[in-house]
Amino acid sequence: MIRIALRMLLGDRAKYLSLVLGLGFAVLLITQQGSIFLGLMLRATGPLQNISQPDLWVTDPNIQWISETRALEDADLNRVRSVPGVAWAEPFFSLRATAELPGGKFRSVALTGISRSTMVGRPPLITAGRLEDLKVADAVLVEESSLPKLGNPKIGDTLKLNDRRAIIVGYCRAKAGFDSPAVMYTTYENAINFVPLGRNTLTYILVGVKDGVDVRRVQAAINALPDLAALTPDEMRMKTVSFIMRETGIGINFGITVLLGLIVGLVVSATVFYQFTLDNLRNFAVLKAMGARKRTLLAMILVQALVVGVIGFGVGVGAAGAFSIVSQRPGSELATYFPWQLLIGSFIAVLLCISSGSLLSLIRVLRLEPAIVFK
Amino acid sequence: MSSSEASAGPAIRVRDVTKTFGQGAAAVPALRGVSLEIDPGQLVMLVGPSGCGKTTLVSIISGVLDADSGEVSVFGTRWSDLTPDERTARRGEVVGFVFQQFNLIPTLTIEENVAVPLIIRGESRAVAARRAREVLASVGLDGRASARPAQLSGGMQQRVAIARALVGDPALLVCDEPTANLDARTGQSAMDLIHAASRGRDARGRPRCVIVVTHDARIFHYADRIEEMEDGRLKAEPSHFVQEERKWVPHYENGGDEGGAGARTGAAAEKEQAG
Repeated sequence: MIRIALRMLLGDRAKYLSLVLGLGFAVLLITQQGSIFLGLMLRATGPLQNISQPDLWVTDPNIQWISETRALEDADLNRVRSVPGVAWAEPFFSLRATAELPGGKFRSVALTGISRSTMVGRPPLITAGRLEDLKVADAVLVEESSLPKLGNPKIGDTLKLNDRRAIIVGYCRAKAGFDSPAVMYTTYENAINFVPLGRNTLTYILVGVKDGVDVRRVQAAINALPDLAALTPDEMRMKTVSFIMRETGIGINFGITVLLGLIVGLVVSATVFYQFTLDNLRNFAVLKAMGARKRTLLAMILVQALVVGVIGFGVGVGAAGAFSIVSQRPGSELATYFPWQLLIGSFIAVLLCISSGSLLSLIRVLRLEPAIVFK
Repeated sequence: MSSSEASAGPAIRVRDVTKTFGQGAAAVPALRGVSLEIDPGQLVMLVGPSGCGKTTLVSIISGVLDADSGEVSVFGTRWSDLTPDERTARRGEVVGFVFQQFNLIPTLTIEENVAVPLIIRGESRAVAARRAREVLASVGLDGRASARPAQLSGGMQQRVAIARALVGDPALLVCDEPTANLDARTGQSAMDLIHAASRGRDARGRPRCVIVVTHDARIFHYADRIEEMEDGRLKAEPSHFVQEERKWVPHYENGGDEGGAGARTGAAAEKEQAG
């Protein structure tokens, strides 16, 4: 009977295609918008992903997300270093500077300054040049995908950073932030020359905890110090994500699109599938008259719905995947992230669509009087 | 089966059956206390004007509709003794249907359409397909097994429907206006098949009963017995018109369309020989 159900479904090509395309479009909307949303969230926490060494990030207690900080006093570095359980604490600089481009244009640069001695906070991968060359005065590493934004400068070229000369000594690979500025690395000492801040110059203190010491205990000890807050990388990530969700409207905007996708899927699958069932009502009645039990007819409808759902899901995810692959090209500003959880989520959405869509059909077929075959 | 009746005696027994559609002022009585018995091996025609209750009666006899009151038993089983699921299963075993509109599933091939009743019963696809091909051959459609219903003429489709009704060797064949959508010669061809089926036996070797609901006087001569209905009741005996029409046996040239209706193999031939 399952084969007959499939033949009934696939034989009506117009409705079958309408169902598959409707569901596919809904899945595309849900998955693609979901992947862009997750991609943006991932990008927003990019600076955090670049740095794996610290157990704690120390900053101002009122920080809301990673890109908006209030500088700490230099003395805070020593206060943190003196907390029991702290293995090391290094200054970390992360602020914006303005790079002047050939032709007079300028570009915002996320400038990261790392400890000259320990290089804690260094970029994940150096693709050209050497990390040690950063110790040269005014030296900077440029993140690869930022090169086109800066006019594709070569190693050894100089450019103006906040009206000061910067020498490009190499390229690196690292993740940009939420608003995808150009990214450069330099030493902490160089950074405070490029971006003078006055008395307070520390944007973050990166902290490593001694082996065997509970990070939470050290965190509590630092939090007990006045005007300092210690956050684990996960806490920092959550603070950033929740700030963007709350303050930028991204969450609600993407949520609306995902909801629209779900509604489109529900409406399309429910109406087309119900119409498909109505068109086949006489056939179902004939089957019932010939001895097909209710559970057989239920199984037929559920199989039809499931097949349409799975194929629609495949079409939608395939299209979203193609979109994602295109967005992964070097230099692309599209941010997509396709975790398996997103696929599970959109498959659940499809199941919701087809189960709601087939519910009406099931009710109609269950109430079907086989006597209609004589009408 | 909670109730059995003696195997001897009528195959179909209908006692004082009533059925009303709608309620209150809109209530329309379709059957007003109908009683009927059909012996094994009989081809009975139910005739009468539109709306007289023929289709309602045949729906109740075949177990696709519940009576409001009264009792219907088919080959020893009272429909009212069965649960809905048991009734559905029993119907699949005992009753074959031929409809006015053919009711073939358009997306299935002819062979698949004919195999459906066996697949519903749980037969394997291979067994069902083999049996379907045999029955298709017996109705003269062995070369069209892979065609779709839309590719066949009305007469061919009706023969497919007859093949589908017979593939499970039912004890009762119920035909609702089987010739209404067919021209005279093709209708005769279909009736030849139905008449031949009435001389056959079911899977358990019992003589098969056939009930034909019809308006078509040209096929009255195929009937072993005609019951005429009027206003929800069976007449004591058919009207003079029906009796006269029954005597009339139409003649067609040999080599007619799809089924070779001109070959007088059915009741017409028997009557011609007798006459």
